[in-house]
Amino acid sequence: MIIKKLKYLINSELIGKTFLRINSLLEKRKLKKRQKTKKDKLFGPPVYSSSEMKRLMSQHYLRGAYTTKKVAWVTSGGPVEHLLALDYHLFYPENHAALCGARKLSTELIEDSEDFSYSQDICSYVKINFGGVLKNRDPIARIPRPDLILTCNNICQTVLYWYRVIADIYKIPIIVIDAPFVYDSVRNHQREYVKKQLSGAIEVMERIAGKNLSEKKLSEVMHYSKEAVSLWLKILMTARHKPSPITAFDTFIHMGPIVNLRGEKSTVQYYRQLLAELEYRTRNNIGAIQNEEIRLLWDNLPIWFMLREISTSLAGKNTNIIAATFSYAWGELAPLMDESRPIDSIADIYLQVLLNRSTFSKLETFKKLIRELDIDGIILHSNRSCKPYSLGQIDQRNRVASDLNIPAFLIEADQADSRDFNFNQANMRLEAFIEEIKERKWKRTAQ
Amino acid sequence: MISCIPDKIYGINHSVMQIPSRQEIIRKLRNNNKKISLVFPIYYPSALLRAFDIHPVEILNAPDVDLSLADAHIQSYTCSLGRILLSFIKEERFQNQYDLIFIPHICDTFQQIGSLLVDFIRPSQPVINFYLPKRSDETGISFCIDELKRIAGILENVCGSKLDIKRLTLELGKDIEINNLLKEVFEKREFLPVSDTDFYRIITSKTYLPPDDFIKILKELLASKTDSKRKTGKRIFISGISAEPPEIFEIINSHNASVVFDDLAVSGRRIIDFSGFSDEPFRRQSEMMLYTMPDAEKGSPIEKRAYWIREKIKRTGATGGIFYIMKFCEPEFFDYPQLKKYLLSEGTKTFLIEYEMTGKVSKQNINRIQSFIEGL
Ligand code: SF4
Ligand code: SF4
Repeated sequence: MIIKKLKYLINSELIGKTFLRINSLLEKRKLKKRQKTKKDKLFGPPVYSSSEMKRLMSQHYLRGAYTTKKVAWVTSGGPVEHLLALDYHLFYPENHAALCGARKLSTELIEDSEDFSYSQDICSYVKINFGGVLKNRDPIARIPRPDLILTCNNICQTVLYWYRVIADIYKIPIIVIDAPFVYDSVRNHQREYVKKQLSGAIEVMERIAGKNLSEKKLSEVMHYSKEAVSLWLKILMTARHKPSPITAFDTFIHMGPIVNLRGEKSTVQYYRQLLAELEYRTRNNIGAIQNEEIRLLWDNLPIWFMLREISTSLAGKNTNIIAATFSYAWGELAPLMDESRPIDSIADIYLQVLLNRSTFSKLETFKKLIRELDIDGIILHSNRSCKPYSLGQIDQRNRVASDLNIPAFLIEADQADSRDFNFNQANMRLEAFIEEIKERKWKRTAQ
Repeated sequence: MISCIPDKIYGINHSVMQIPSRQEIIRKLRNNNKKISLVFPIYYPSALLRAFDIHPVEILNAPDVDLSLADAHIQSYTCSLGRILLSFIKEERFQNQYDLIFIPHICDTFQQIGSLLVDFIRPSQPVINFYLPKRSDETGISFCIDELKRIAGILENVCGSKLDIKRLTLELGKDIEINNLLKEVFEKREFLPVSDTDFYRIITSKTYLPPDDFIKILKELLASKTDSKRKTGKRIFISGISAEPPEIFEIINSHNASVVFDDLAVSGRRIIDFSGFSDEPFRRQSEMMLYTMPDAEKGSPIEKRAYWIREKIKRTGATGGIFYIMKFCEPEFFDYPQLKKYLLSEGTKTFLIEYEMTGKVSKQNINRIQSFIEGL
């Protein structure tokens, strides 16, 4: 144990931390100096806080690699406040899978898990994770082995099936928070059910952590969680400004800390910095792309392996995807967080995440964002991996088009499996869609 | 109670032929002004529906349905069962066949379809969504009780009558009788003079027959028990949601093999190996759904599921198993690799077939089944 602790201090806190700080400074300088290439000229100046975000995330992964703490793997929609208050190191396989996708490192892992008979129809995040676990390797960082896993099916049932497999492979305890689907509003018995499960879960968390939960620490975590989530919402809403200082692609990257590090002071500090930078940009009319003519909304997870290609292609058409339901999902519930009633408010929040609400409620979210952000059209990513996000999009698309007279376009792809995706084909269809929007806009102004 | 099957005692060899089809049952009940609920498989409170005089009919397949009707609402890569059920609801010629649509949330596909029906498609019949808890412990049971009470409230509104607890208890009693008979039928499987296809047809007729008729059939089936074991050839088991089309059994039989037990969600997996049922009817109804055999849909640990299958293997002497899984059925796909590992460690070979629920088993799958059986 002493050697492990020493290793952690030297590798993570001494060498790692210093290296990451220097790296972050260099990166910032590089961003500022960057000579504009033809592609870069389509965009506004880069978001300088990105270097700090990278540092935070890298540090988190580095700490995980050498951690001496108890490790919990958790789903992105899982209630993590108690785990954090008990000082667990948290690892989010979904975020890790997204990183693999964005760095175009996912195909091999996906194929590895298919070699173990995991079907092509299983969510690609899962297969990225299984590929690493079963072959005991990882292209990004050393992943800490879990002592405990927590799954909450408020985003999909997939995560329940997924974590059962992990529990079976590692023979470790699993906490299941079963979150009943919410149609209109949370019903009493649904809330009581989640509360009961949370109370039961705390006992398991404490047993494995070998310590008791401190109420003071929990309220501190909740305080930071709430603040981070509220700041995140403000960050997203800077997109109201024309031109928007941010793209949805930026939000996909900058949501790293809200998923992985909510409840931590450093996340709050980071989002304050990011918000300040974006507010500076809005005051000075600095747009995320140079000529913002069209403002779009993105639905579903990003196509991680095509972020750059799609954003560049759209920027070339003076189009900015300024917001995404996916990143918005992390901000919209901030007002519900209440430190004075931790279990009740946690139950309410985690029951009402976007994917645990009805297909109609998602349509309402579209409408709200369209109105608030003055959106010209929607791209709905029909994501083969993600059934709860995708089943329902056809009706939602039709209703947005008929109720709000907003064009909506369905693009077939996968969040992290690039094998069946043809960018040129998709791009051609995107171009036609943008033309349609431009024509409509032109007609409206001509009238 | 209306009986839907002829009164005469069947000679077992042709009785199966006389089990009325799903459509015949629907017609007969309709002619007698009975209310029918179209039910999505797998776990749902059958006795509770019947206590309101609503007869539940599950749809497992509908080969002649127009699937493009579902394509107007859900992606065409969705599992065939989801697409069939949604198309069935949309197809006009079936719309006067039922008064209610009942959807248990057993997976993301059903959950989303349930929501789409309420939010966008809005069929003329009421749609009831039921959240099946994904845990079978006391916390899951007590949530299930509350959820069933909520559903009872909706049914009271829909039917305009109060729930009669005595009737609910009576219906639950029938389900327990069915469960006991089913246990016996599965245990004596080898001594029953019916082919695998007919056995599957008999067992899955539970998904639409009135319980009294089903009890009658099971009793007849048991009465037909012979003293000698049937010839089985190679002994295998089958796992998955359903074995549609049932022709799959003929294919297995034609390669000198038989199915000695099944872990199908519409058949063997519904058996409840538990006898201490509560006297309180809502709790009993919950137990009857959540204490069925372990599976992913109920969130059971994989090890528990593997244990159950291994016990069955020991008892039946199966030497191999076919996991017959519908394309895009995530819950079923997930468990396979771990189960395969567990079973292989004890010498049982398994094999995965992915299929689309169309009218026929594909040529490629027939060849694959053949070579798997030959390799056993
Ligand atoms: S199915 Fe969707 S919500 Fe679930 S893990 Fe996959 S991408 Fe995430
Ligand atoms: S995904 Fe599987 S469990 Fe769900 S409806 Fe389809 S076949 Fe049934």
